[in-house]
Amino acid sequence: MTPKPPAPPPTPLPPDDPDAPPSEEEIAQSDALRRALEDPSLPNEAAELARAASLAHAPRPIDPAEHRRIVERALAGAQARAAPSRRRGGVLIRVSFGAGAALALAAGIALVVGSVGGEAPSSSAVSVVSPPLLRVRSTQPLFDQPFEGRSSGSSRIDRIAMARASDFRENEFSRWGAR
Amino acid sequence: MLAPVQEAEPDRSEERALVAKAQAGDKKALGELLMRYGPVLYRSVLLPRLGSEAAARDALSETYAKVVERIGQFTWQNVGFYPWLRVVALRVALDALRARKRLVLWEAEDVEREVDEVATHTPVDQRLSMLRDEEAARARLKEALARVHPRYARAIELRVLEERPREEVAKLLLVSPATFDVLLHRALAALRKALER
Repeated sequence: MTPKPPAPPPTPLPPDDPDAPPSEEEIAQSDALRRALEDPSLPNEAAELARAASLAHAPRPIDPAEHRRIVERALAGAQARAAPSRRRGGVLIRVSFGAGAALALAAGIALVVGSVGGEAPSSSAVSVVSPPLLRVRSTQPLFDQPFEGRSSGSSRIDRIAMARASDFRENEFSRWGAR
Repeated sequence: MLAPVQEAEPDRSEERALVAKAQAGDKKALGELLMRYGPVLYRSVLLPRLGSEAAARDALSETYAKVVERIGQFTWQNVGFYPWLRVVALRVALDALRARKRLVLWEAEDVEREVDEVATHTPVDQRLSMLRDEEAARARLKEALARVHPRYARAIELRVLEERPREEVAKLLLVSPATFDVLLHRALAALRKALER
């Protein structure tokens, strides 16, 4: 097992008086911050935070040419993934038990997709095996109405309710293809 | 009394047709959807949460890869394609934040909460979602700045948010440029502490 990297030293608390005289260490760190703000290639945690704050305040648009490249790469990746499967199909046809194997594979995929498919459109050209849905051990099917969102008064039941709600959300995202 | 003006529902039939084509394997249609919504996704969802242009670009690539892979699972909703795209992007951002050691404005738990909210809140269309996301980013920053010494907040506002030159900000705060460097360093340390709380 790889040992964990040492945790970075905690950031010293800034003084209550912003204009208190600085220590030598603070002067050196301030100088490093100034240089990192001028040159983004220099690693500096404070400068990273400054840039994150600036981007949250006024986010900059993505360069259209860069964006086009990212889109093209994603679409090309999809084609590249689709291509080898066609080649594999060609090989399978040539071997004597190829058709049987392909049928068995298709049946396997259909079983998995069918068991998790939910509302996913069947006409999709992109076959995806979703993560399996979580099996919920819930008493909910015994009741007509969902439980109300407020506390039950029992911390144990609240914990169970929260866990079930989390499972439910995960399953919703799975069905939606966003998990 | 005047009746409230209701905005007309945008016609999404063209977008729905594009989605159907994309789900049928039409890469051009999928590319058109990504070209349409990607810039908003980058600007209002990924960039503020990840805090760096490089990280946001990587996350956008990852989001598109997932979209290409999972477009078949998308079920059309009246609010269009964007809310689904946003959830995929939020989950990519969540993974990126979990893998990261350093603090930016958002922590993984914050984004996890946002992802959870999607399951319980009514989805909204792209324009409203973008406005809410950008407003949330500014509000988060504003709340954190309200928790630090006013002089630290002023130093950050002038130098970082308004991007004024170092010398000009030093002059406005009545200190030398070298003293301002110390002040800004302390201000950012205070902001970090405020965000950690």
